[in-house]
Amino acid sequence: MRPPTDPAAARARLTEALVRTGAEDRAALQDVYRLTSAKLFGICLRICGERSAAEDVLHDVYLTIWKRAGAYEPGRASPISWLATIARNKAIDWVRARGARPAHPIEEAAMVADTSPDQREIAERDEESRRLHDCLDALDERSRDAIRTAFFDGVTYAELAERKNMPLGTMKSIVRRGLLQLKGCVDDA
Amino acid sequence: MTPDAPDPDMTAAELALGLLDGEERAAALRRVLADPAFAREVEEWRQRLAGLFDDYPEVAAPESVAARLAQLDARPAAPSRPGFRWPIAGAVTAIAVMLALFLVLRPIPQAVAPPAAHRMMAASLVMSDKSGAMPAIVDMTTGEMRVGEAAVAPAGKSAQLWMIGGDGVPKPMGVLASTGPSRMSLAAGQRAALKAGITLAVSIEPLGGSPTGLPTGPVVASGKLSIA
Repeated sequence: MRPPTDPAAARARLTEALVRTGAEDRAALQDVYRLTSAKLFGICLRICGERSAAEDVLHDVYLTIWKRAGAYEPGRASPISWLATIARNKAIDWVRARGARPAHPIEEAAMVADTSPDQREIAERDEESRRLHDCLDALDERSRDAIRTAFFDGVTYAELAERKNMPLGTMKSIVRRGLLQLKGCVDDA
Repeated sequence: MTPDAPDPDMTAAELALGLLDGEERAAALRRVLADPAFAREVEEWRQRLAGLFDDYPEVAAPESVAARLAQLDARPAAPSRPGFRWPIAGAVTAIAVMLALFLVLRPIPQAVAPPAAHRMMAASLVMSDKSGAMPAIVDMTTGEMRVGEAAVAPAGKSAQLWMIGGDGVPKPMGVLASTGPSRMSLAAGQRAALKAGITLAVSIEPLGGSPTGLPTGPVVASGKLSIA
């Protein structure tokens, strides 16, 4: 089942499924799974870097959603952001608990930080997302690249500096200045 | 902006992004507990960056995960794959064992009352250094709370338990026993504030607990409360 193509309808449908999951409705959890598993698996795969780990983390993500859905407040965050944050944090926890990550991300989750999204993805962005992307595009390339890599791969400053072959202090400065500029741009728009 | 100007303080964004590790991360987490304005800032950054989730490519999830989820029953499930090193798997088991003991050891009620909704709540307080986790169980009917053994406080210090609800302000729940499991009795007001999704955290404080009413020392364990 593909999610509805109208973003507002998709969001309403997911919110409804998530709220029912919070009321311990198991069929609703299956609905949430059908609507979101491809996105959340994409996140787990990208950060974990290996398929079997990403599958285990994904399972744990939905168990967590099952347990925490009652705490979801529809007015405060978009449902997919709330779910994606759980997936990203679980995947990061897994990588950091293991203590090392694979040298190269696997092919299926190829370097999204460096590729441009397709037209359909751009069309599905809501207004806030469009503003964020516009503001990221306005940053200098090194800041933008560092912030996007930090987000997509869930890496620490130390890992970021190593990947970019930069001293830690320089890396921090680049990211901090970029974040400050990003905040100004997003909040002013 | 000159190269020599000090970096702006972007700690909230750095925590939201996951850039920090070690002591820097621990310090930022302490600040979340102690400083509601900072906690709000972290949440604002999460929302500000949420649009980036759009850029993760979708990948069809394997059927096996859907199949495992379809078998979900009402009890908390532990990860089923043998050999999968999940740091809180032990804690889930510990909660189940503790819950069982708690139920066995409870005094037999005089009259058979209908079970109240969400009578037991539980949290797995995962150590900040991921070395393990301690279970916490609350009987919502009596207000009795138990926290599993975890000798986390060094000599001359106390480990103190806090709850952090929607307002982000840590509220003291009690000082943990220096050895063995802890038992505490929650006041009606404290009990009323407990609901699924709130955070429980343990910080290291001067002997006898924080003198200020807010955490002053490092947070060594934390976890979210859920319905048991």
